[in-house]
Amino acid sequence: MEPLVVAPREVHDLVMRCARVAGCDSGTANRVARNITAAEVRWGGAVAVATEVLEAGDPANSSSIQALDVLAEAECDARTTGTSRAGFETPVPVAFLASTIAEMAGRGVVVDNLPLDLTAALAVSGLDLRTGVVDLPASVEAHRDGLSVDRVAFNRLEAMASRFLVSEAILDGLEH
Amino acid sequence: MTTAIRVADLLQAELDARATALRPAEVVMRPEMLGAARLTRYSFSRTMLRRAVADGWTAGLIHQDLDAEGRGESIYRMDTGTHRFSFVAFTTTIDESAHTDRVIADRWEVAAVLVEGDVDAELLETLRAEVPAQEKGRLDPRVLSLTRGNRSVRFFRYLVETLAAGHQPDPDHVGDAGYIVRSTAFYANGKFGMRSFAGYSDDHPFRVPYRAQFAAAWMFRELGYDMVEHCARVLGGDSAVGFEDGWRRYFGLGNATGLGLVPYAFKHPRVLDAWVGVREVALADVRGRSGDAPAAELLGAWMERAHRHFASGTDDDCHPFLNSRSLVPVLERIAAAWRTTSGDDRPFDSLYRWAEMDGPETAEMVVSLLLELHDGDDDHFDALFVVDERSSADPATTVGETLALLDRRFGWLADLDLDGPEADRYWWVVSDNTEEPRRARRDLLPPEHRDVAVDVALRLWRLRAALRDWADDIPMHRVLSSYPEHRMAVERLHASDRRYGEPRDNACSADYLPLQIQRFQLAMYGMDNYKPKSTDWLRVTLFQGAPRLGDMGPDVTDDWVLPPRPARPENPGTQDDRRSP
Repeated sequence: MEPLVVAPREVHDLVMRCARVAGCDSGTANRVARNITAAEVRWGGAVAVATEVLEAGDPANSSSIQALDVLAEAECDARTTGTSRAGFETPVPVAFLASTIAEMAGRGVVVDNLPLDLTAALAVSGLDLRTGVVDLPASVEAHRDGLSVDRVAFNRLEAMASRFLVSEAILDGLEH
Repeated sequence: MTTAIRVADLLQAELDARATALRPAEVVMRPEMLGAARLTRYSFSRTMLRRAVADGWTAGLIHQDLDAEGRGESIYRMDTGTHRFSFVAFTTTIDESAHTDRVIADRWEVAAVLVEGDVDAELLETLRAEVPAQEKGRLDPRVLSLTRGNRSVRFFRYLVETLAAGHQPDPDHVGDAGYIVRSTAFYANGKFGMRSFAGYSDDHPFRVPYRAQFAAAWMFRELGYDMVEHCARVLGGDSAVGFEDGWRRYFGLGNATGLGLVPYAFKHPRVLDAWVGVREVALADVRGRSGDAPAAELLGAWMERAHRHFASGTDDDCHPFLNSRSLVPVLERIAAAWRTTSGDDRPFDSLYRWAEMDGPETAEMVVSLLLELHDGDDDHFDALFVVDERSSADPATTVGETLALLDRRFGWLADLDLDGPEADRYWWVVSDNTEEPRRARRDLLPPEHRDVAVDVALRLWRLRAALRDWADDIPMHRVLSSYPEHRMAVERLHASDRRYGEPRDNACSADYLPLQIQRFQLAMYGMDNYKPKSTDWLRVTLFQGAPRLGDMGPDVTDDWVLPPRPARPENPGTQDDRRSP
């Protein structure tokens, strides 16, 4: 099936709604959406990864989503001691970590053990952190030309995200 | 030519340089003050047209295939010198009973897009299928803005028949209309697969917020004129005439606006800061000037122009805003105050200080008038609107630092009775019908993870209460791993690092009035004639008095706003006696 060309914001909005429907609070859902969008822009394939996690049971408490709290703790340790390791209970797809890794780099903490042939689906059991500096890639092309995403996965997310909406008839009924 | 402007947040340096001369956020961000805002020379319609003149943009109709009722296709072309754009409109007619201004309507008389480049046969075929479908359609990055609207039920047919008979409109019959067609939305920035704003290159003419949408709106307005004149020609044959004299520019583009604006304002604090901040930079500059004869004369001319415009308007019910006729005494008070303050050392500052004491409508009318004296460089002011919205909360920030930041940035929350029983009566929801944002009563329908996070005041207030249970030296990531429901509040606290980013309001309270923030946004767009139809939506007019596409050239000036209602040609004395200042 032909891939679907979408704008980055469409990935963000869709993942955010799906994460809400899956039980995440607004802040966590936003964080998940930022990471998946950043990963789709940088590596592609993140929408499909997100779909698998968000459609699974209790994604709000999944290792993929909770990993960001582990990473935050490790980042603080690295800023104090110079190095640290974020170890996850179960391997986490890097799609769920992409923008957080970039935000950490903005605060002077970089990841040491990411492979060069990284994909959004690559699951990592932990990240080695150290203080340092790294150049972040630009993403103008994705915003100009759009992203080619997995059409089936995107459609599945759309179906899930529809549960974020409330029926017009119900809303009209509340007002009368 | 447009200069490269990918330098975000230049505005903060401008604001810092004028820090002691700025109006404080406690004044500017009050809902009553935001709800009194008017269009200024820095509104997007004005800045777009100044840019078009400065850079020699040309635009015109290149293809039109309409039947006698105006149904068919129209294509306009715009050349900016560096880029070409096409505005493609599909028009039809629908039964009067099917007209609605709600976003949820599923049929429109006009459906249109702004596209980068020329439109070839293949793209046109795609647009024919996708554009009339609006939210249900699928577009691609060649498309920059999607819009739709309806003809004015009251006036479209009248205008056709009048021109067909060889006459100009009767000002008493249509003068208050202000528009021929009325739009409802200008989608852009990645919606439905369109080009993202961040995808514009540094030298792109639309690399300024909302410029693409306003270029589309300007051509949408032209389409209204062209449809009427086409239908009149078909109906009247050789007897038909076109719009003449004042009517050629009098009609703007109508717009109906609902709750969709509200979440945007509450979710983008740095954008809101830029919109407010640009006005405040200009106002501070003008208030700081000493009086001089040319500036005083110019201000007087604008007062007269505004008086003439509003005096020729209507006394329609515009509650809670003032209708046109009710603004006349406001303008007369302003003129009287100016007579007493114009001799002061800083007369414009004196006038503003008086106006603020007179109330929000007066204050913001004076702001609008004073900003006409500002002569900011458009390249620079375009750049001031570009903001970087990226932000992330540092997980190492401690509870004590967070509480201090809350006090510094959100101390005003204590004034909102956020623990009161009516503070969270509503939650914000997205309807399944074209995704229209709405409010729902919490006691009638529980959110269940479907709420849109525009409850900023409540979230920040509850964060402050929750943090009192934690020791000051605990890092916030530990708090949030246990209580993730506060994560959005913490991120907002860090993102809200600008003077004018937060409306001092609670969007979920029982007495929240959406019209106030909507009016500010509409004023920033350049819309006027604010006519509320409920607490939640209103009608406005855009580009009224603006130059037409064919008028563009180096002689076009920026003083087209607030046009007087055209006089009746056969008896101009009567109109002049009644409406001139």
